[in-house]
This record gives sequence, C-alpha cells and structure tokens, in this order.
Amino acid sequence: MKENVKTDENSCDKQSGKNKNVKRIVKLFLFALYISAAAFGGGFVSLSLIKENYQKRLKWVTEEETADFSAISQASPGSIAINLSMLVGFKVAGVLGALATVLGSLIPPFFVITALYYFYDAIKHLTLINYLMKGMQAGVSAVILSLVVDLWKSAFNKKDKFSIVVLIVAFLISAISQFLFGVSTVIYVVILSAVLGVAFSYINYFKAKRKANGDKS
Amino acid sequence: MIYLQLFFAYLQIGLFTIGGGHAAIPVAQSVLVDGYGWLTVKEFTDMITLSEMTPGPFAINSATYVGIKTGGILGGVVATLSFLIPSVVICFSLYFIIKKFRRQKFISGFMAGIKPAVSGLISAAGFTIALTALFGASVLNQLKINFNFDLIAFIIATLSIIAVRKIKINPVLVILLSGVLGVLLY
Repeated sequence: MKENVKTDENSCDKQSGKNKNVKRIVKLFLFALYISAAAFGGGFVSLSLIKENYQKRLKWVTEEETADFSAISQASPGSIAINLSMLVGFKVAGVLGALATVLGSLIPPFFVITALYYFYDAIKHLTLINYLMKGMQAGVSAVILSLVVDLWKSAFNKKDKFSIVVLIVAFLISAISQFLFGVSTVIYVVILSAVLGVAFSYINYFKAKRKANGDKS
Repeated sequence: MIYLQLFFAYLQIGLFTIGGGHAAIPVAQSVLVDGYGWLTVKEFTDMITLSEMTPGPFAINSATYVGIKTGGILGGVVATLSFLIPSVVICFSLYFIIKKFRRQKFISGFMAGIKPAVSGLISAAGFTIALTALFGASVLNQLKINFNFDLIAFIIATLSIIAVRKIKINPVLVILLSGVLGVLLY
C-alpha cells in the first residue's frame, strides 16, 4: 500500500512516468560516462562537474542535497566520485539510476587502463597524448577553481562562523600537508571536522538549554 | 584461485580507502606490493603516475590494471567490482541513516562539521591541481619540484575560466576543448 502511494506521488500518469524514468536513466548513464571521461585529477574534479551538470544545469538535485551527498561520499570508503554519482543516480531514478551512474563512471577508466595495459609501449611515445593531457589539466584546474570561488562565496554569504572556520582550517591543513609534505591528510580532516561538528552541536544545545532554564528562574 | 584472491584484496583496499583517491595508496601498497607481490615498487609508482594522467580514481585504475595482469579482463572486472562493494554498502547505509535521523543532534552536528570541511578539501585540491598545471610541480614527488612557469597552461586555464564563468559553457566540454588546445599550442 505504501509503495503505491509513493509511485503515485512520483508520477501522475504511470505510462509517461515510466518513459520519463527510462529517459532519465539513459541520460544519467551518458552524463556519468561524459563526466568520468573528462574528470582526471581526482574526486574533487568530478565533484565540481557533477555539481555543475546535475545541480545547475539539469536541476535534478538541489544545492542542499549536493552538499549532503558530497559529505556522505567523503565520509564513506572508496572513490568520492563514484560514491557521489551513485547517490545522485539513486536520488534521481532509484536503484537503476545508481546502477547507471556507477557503470557510466566505471567504463571510461576501465577502457583506458585496458588499452594502456595492452598498448602501453605503442602509446608511450605519442607526445600528442601528453600534450592533450597537459591541456586538459589546465582546463581541469580552471574548472575546479571556478567551483572553489562558488563554494567560498556561498560559505561567506551564509555568515555561519563555525562553517567558515572549518572551511578555512580544512583548506589550510590539507593544502599545506599535501603541497609541502606530499601527505594526504584528508581522512584526518574529515574525522576532526565531524568531531568538531558533533561537539559544537551539543555545546549549542546545552547553551540553549541553560539559557532557557535561566530565563525561567 | 586468483579471482578469489583479487576479490579479497580489493575488498580490503575498498574498505580502507577513506578520503578518496590517494588515500588508497598506502593500503594498496601493503596489499599489492608487500602482500601478494602482484606489482613491483616500480610498477606501483608507475601506476600512480598513470592515474594522475588518465581519468578515473587511482584505486579503480589500479584494480583494473592489477586484475588484468593477474587474471585477464575478467580479473580486471572482478577486482574493480570488489573494490566497489564496501563503498556501496557504507555509502547507502550512511545515506539512509542520515535521511532518517537528520534532526538528531549527533547526525546534524556530524553533517554540519563535514560539509564545510569538504569545501575546504576541494579548495586545497584545486590549489594543488592548479599549481601542478601551471608550474609543473608534482604533488607526489616533492623532491623534484622545479618551478617552470608554464605560459601555455596559464593561457589555457585563463581561457577556460572565462568560458566557464562568463560564457557559461559546460565545464566538461571546456576540459575536452582545453585538451585540444593543448595539442595545438604545445
């Protein structure tokens, strides 16, 4: 019974709803394929592309959802890019949607590595590919810097001091450790920020409680 | 049974890769190089360089590569899918837990802490990627930093920024176009 109510909510007309869903799943697959082929340089690049495509252009997920999904992907094991596209796919079209985005994200790297494995010696000397990669790397850095500008703008617009401090500290720790020492501290930054967030939420709660008690007496 | 070994090896790597991408390196090294001996140290570092140059996360690329090397194409498929199992399970569990208990202080605090941290981590990644592209300073080989300013990369990056922010061309297209531009200019 509950299932019926749910599907009725999602699509008024069953037939057109079904078609729409199939179309969405195909589109999810193609987008995942496209994003995965262009995103090299790590999960954060895919994150910015996913944000741009699904949130800004298609409007299939809201900014709030993207932020939630990014946080979950970051806190889960595995690749952030795949986790994130899996969650977006699930949100948009259920289990099949998640399957479509995961397959779409896996195919490009799988083929590239398979090709490299069998034809590495032939490809190794092609400077053309090297130049292609260099150009793409410059493009990637531009895209990710553009996302960074958006993220900082949105953080400062919200005027939430806690978020701004965490953002800056996370940036500094990660950038300094990565660039100066070549060590990835991502996991520690995530744990630290989660602990701080939980602590802060309890502190706020008790402060509010004490204030309420104080007002009473 | 090589497929079973691949399955367990990548299940383990998948479980301990927390924080994405390069977080897999230490685990992968202990499993692939020291444990099973599927890769030599040289092959392993080549693998890291290769992943920097190609699309796809390091862990997935290494799964494909090691799988093919030890068990053919099917091995590649097995290793890649095994790597995904822990992330699918944990990611969806977190998703449903957070959805259900998002009003709880613990969960809301957890999310409130991680969200801005992810923005900070993205910024740091952007910073290092841009430095690598413009100055050729490799993030992974700290000892070999040589600051050669790359004018062509700078031009491509500037054009891409304009394309993304002012003209609002799809960033995926911008990245592919900047690759073409790289071939033409270098």
